[in-house]
Amino acid sequence: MNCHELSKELIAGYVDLAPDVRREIDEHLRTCDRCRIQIQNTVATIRITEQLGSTGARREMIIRLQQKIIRVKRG
Amino acid sequence: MEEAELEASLLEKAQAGDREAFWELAAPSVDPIYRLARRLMKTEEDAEDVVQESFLKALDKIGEFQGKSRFNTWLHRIAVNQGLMKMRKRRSDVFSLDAPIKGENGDGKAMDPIDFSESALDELQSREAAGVLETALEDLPIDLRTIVVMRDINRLSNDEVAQALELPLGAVKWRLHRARSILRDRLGEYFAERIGT
Ligand SMILES: [Zn+2]
Repeated sequence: MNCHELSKELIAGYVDLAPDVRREIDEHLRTCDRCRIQIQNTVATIRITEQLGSTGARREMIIRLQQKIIRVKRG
Repeated sequence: MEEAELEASLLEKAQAGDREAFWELAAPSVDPIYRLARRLMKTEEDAEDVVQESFLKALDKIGEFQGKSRFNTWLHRIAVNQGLMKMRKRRSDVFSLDAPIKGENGDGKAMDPIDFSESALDELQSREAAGVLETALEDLPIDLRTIVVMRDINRLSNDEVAQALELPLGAVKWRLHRARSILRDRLGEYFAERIGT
């Protein structure tokens, strides 16, 4: 597997890779710093993106929404 | 009761007109839908409006929901549509999707990347990086941004994102990869300045 093939595999699946593909990738990564760093950086990027999921809506807005849902007339 | 079972039973009640059941079904989605709306819309006010309108729309259309996807996925779909509708009203320039993307250095071969994965584990640095990422996210075209929010922030599965956006799974994976690569390169630029090359 070369750098180009590796990037194609990652586009197609990234985390849900078949074991044999993963093995080929691992082999490539042992000899290619560039791809290894890109993958590590991508994983780190995803971790940081996940941190943005700790925020939420304002409490008052949620209560207002709840009241609307319970009371609103249908039709 | 299993989560899916609970959802099915709440849905049945909600479809029979039980508002409390509807709220119980919908409430866990308020935060994720807000996170999505806030990153679709330019202002806080519009984002909150999109959230309210999406849930009221879901209440109105609950009879049409067939339970083929999770309720949360269905709400994401409604919210994207509500958001796009409001953007059209605002006549904003969001539909110039082929505008050049900041932080994208061609095929990614322009320069050797520095390894920032260790630095990103550091709590303070990762908090700062989250701020950089938020800006980079804002600069993404809306189709890529929507997918990142759904997949990486709201933790929908690839299949759920595909359902919510009515896109083929392959298109979701490809856009997700593209979006993550752009964000990674933006963080790369940030860390290159911080830790030097
Ligand atoms: Zn390589």
